[in-house]
Amino acid sequence: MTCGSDLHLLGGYIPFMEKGDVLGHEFAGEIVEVGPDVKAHRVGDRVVVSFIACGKCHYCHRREFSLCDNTNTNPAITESLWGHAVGGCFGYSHALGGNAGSHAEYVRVPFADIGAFTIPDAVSEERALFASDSASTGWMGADLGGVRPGHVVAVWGAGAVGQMAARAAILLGAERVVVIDRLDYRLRQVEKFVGAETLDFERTNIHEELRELSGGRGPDVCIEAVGMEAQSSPYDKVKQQLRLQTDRPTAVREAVHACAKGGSVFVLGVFAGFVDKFPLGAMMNKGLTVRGAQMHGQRYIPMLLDRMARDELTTEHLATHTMPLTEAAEGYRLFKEKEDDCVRAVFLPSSSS
Amino acid sequence: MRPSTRAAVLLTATAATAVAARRLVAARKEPPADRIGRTHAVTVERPYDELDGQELPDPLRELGDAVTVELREAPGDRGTEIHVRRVDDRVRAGDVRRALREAR
Ligand SMILES: NC(=O)c1ccc[n+]([C@@H]2O[C@H](COP(=O)([O-])OP(=O)(O)OC[C@H]3O[C@@H](n4cnc5c(N)ncnc54)[C@H](O)[C@@H]3O)[C@@H](O)[C@H]2O)c1
Ligand SMILES: [Zn+2]
Ligand SMILES: [Zn+2]
Repeated sequence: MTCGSDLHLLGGYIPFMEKGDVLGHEFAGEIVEVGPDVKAHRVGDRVVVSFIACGKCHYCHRREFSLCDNTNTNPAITESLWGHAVGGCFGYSHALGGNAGSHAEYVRVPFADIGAFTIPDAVSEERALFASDSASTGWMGADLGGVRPGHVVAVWGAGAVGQMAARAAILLGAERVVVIDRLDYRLRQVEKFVGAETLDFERTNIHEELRELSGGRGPDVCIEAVGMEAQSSPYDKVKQQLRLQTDRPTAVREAVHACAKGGSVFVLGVFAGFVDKFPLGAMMNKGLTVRGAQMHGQRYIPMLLDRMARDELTTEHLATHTMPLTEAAEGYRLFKEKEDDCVRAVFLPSSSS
Repeated sequence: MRPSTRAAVLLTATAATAVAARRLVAARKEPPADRIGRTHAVTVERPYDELDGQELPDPLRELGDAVTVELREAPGDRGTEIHVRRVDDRVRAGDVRRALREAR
């Protein structure tokens, strides 16, 4: 399945892709072979797979699986870029290990006892597929962002990630959840399938609206699910093209500015390097907690599959385009251009049709 | 160690739970922050029951019938929200915001 993260890779914003690399990190399927160390799975099991984590290191023990110390086989890049290497991931450039991704008929899953989860009979593969990334990512934003009953929550971005974050906030008891985007078809999905309210950032002053709908306080939790290619002013685009900043942080800035005093901002959108005009003053003086992470899927997938089985979490509307893997290039084009109301393109390897 | 999964995804049509919500602002253009009819709000650390039916704080009362005032219980034990809407041009948006700040 396609993901906003793949767009950052294809667009060259994360410049660690090489010719021949296989993309794809959101996948579900059937096990055809198991290695000798695999105890939890058997051939024929239907599974959904998360990022790659060892299950044994300090970070895995703290359930911060994407910080795994042992699964990025190529740690030098991110050690110099970010100071430390984070865990490995499928099809996510050589910065995250250069592991072959899932846009293939077969994919090798290291540490399968930790990262692959059996799909309950009551859940379709189409639905479970979203537990792989967007639903776990969205849940993490609401959970680690600290959503509690009574909170007002704002989510930037109505892609699969933002929609799942909004749904998580509702299920965690938020009083009001508002999703911000400009693509009407996505906002309509939010209203119909997620049950959250919506704001169109091209037609409204987001800061004003968020302030008034929260009784003047601002949202208690702000979740950013847009990432480094956010719609932005020419200033940010030019600076990014000139490589004076690597990322366009429009939505992060807006979230920090809108957030309630003492509130929290969770950055789910992917950023690679440096940003300009980060509102450090607002963050510091308003006493905000600003966090971010690649998703800790292993921490949430079993719970998400349970909720999917109970129909609390539905994802079918997100799979707007299903096509054979041979048409992946067209699927990515639709997804990138947001054409034909695309939210996610799902690719079927030929063997499954 | 070569565990593998086949990346096959089977599709079954499943009825999605439909829940209704609403578009908050349907306006075509960005509305000016101070337009007539827009609400301005603050939240005060006082229980709703204590404020309901009481005289409004002086700064708000002084705005008279140029505004309408609505009290709502704030979620999450946050006290009470005071929402003020300008009905015409007799007071400016800035005056409303100032009165709300003073009322808090
Ligand atoms: N943290 C993680 O582990 C993780 C996992 C998956 C995806 N991601 C990241 O999350 C982000 C979203 O992923 P997605 O698959 O939903 O992508 P997507 O491209 O489908 O959706 C992004 C949405 O953001 C909207 N948008 C653009 N600029 C905006 C702005 N200024 N304000 C509000 N909305 C704006 C776009 O219109 C679009 O609908 C990406 O950056 C992706 O890389 C992170
Ligand atoms: Zn993804
Ligand atoms: Zn680990």
